[in-house]
Amino acid sequence: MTATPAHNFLLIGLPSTGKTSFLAALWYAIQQSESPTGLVLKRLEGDNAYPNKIRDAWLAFKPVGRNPTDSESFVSMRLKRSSGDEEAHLTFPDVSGESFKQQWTSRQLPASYEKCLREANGGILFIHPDSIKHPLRIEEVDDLAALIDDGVADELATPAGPPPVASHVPWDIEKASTQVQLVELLQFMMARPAFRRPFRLAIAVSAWDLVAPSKIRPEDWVARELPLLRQFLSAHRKTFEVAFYGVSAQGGKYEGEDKKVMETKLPATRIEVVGEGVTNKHDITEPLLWLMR
Amino acid sequence: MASIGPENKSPGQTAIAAAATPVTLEKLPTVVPGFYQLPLGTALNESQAQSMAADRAVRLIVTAGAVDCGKTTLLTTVYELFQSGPVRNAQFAGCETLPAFEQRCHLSRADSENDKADTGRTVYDGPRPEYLHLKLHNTAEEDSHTDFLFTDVSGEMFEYARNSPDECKRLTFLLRASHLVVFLDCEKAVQPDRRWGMVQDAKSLLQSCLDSNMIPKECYVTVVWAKTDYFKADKNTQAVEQFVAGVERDFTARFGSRLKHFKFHSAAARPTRFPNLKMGFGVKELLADWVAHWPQDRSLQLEPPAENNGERESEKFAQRHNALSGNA
Repeated sequence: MTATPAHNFLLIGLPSTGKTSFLAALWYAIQQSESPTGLVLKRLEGDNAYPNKIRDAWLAFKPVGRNPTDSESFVSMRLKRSSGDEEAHLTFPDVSGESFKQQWTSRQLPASYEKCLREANGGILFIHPDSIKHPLRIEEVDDLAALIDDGVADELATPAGPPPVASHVPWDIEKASTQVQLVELLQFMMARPAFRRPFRLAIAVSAWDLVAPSKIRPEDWVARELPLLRQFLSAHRKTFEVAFYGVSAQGGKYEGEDKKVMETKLPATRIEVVGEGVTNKHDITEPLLWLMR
Repeated sequence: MASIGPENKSPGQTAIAAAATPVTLEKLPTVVPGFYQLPLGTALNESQAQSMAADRAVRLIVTAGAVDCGKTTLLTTVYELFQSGPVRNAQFAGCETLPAFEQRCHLSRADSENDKADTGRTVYDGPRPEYLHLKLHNTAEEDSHTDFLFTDVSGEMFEYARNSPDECKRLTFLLRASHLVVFLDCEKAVQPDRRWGMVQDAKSLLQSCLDSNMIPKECYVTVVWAKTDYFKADKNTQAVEQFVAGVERDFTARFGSRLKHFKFHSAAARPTRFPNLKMGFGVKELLADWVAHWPQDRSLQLEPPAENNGERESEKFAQRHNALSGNA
């Protein structure tokens, strides 16, 4: 008898990037039969209070809530491939987004995260289109303003006067751009003794329903919105094996027309996944299948 | 686990903080149990830079010039260019001083709520340079990563150096420079009362570095007309061209034969005077030059000296080696 392969996947992401929503939708998807998934639940084990709680919120169109900094919930799943008997034991440490943010701001790494990293076979890096902070330069703001108002353009065309009086807002490390923070998170990972190369990393652009109308591929969207991160991943292709996904775990906004449409659907078909190699757009296990490959 | 505290800061970190904005990193709590200390990401001090250079091949770019000539702005612009995508064949592959770059970029970012983009002045804090790091990947070659260290030092340091070769000798980082970029400030060049002083200062600096043997033989020296938007905005184009040609002739006559790699370049890292110039004008070319040329890339020529009468085993080996190879 062979042992069940163990897969430990890190869920990486800054606050409010969709990690917990992904887990909630996944926990539901692998236990339902209305829409096929590549991975299904083999058997329940351990304490499932946390995944059940976030799943119930997801089913009721309620926010799953943010995982507080001091709370690290491990979600463990005994799964099998729906197309065969191959089993897999998946463990996801649901590390809070605040905890990742603090790596950048406080320059400290929880020892528990180091342990997760040591055991990880791969990870999913979550990016939310609505929570991206761009490194906006003053002249870019001026250019935008000039597009709107000709008067501003005339003012800007006037040669600069003496240097401005120092009345600026002080620099705050917390306000650094998203791409810089994500690059630093990956650099920290790479530098840890526990890190194993090559590391499979699925890049999940969550709330993909917000982006989908633009008909852009997730990879191209990341290159457009987070060019520094895209360059970094490209420059380290032997360290990070990367696949890009657009994931709509919620299925839309929990209000207005979006919610009305979702209420007419079977829960599992609220989920939408796009990306290279995705064969079933409602299968949230697609990124996991790639990680397990 | 080391704790974070003032004792871990390099002197210049205090300087830049005072010049620009309060640094949130200074307010960090000490490391609590159950946490690992991560690198602070602040500018590297001399020993940290040397440690990095001992660990891997590093290209050192020294930017030299008077106070407020745009040295730090040039460096932050290099960093800013990568924020929006690859620069020619170079793509961003990492940075061990991300917060340091971010802090230096702050006054040019919308977050600062400044009306006009600015750069905090690097305050002189003795002959102790700070270094910023960038790792770049040459997309034309597989697995081609290059580590760059950029000096970020105050103009005062170079004022002392140009006034005295002895002071210049204290700038030991010059001896490791792959590229030395000497700044000519076009903002001063368009002011008749400051023009020739600015040129003379740059000349004296280069002269002092050469006379004190602080510029490596293979170092690439580029004299940069910085803030060239001031020239472009000047209506008297002919006078500007004559001035530039005259200065370049003078520099070439004086230094051309003493430097193996010597040239001129124009850049406007953050142009404000001439709207047709975009951010980073001329900076991409400089960067391409830094990527393409690296003196240490050549053979180290580790042949033992032809003549020695030593008694050490290594010296005896050299004598035998030279006898065999006919070098003696």
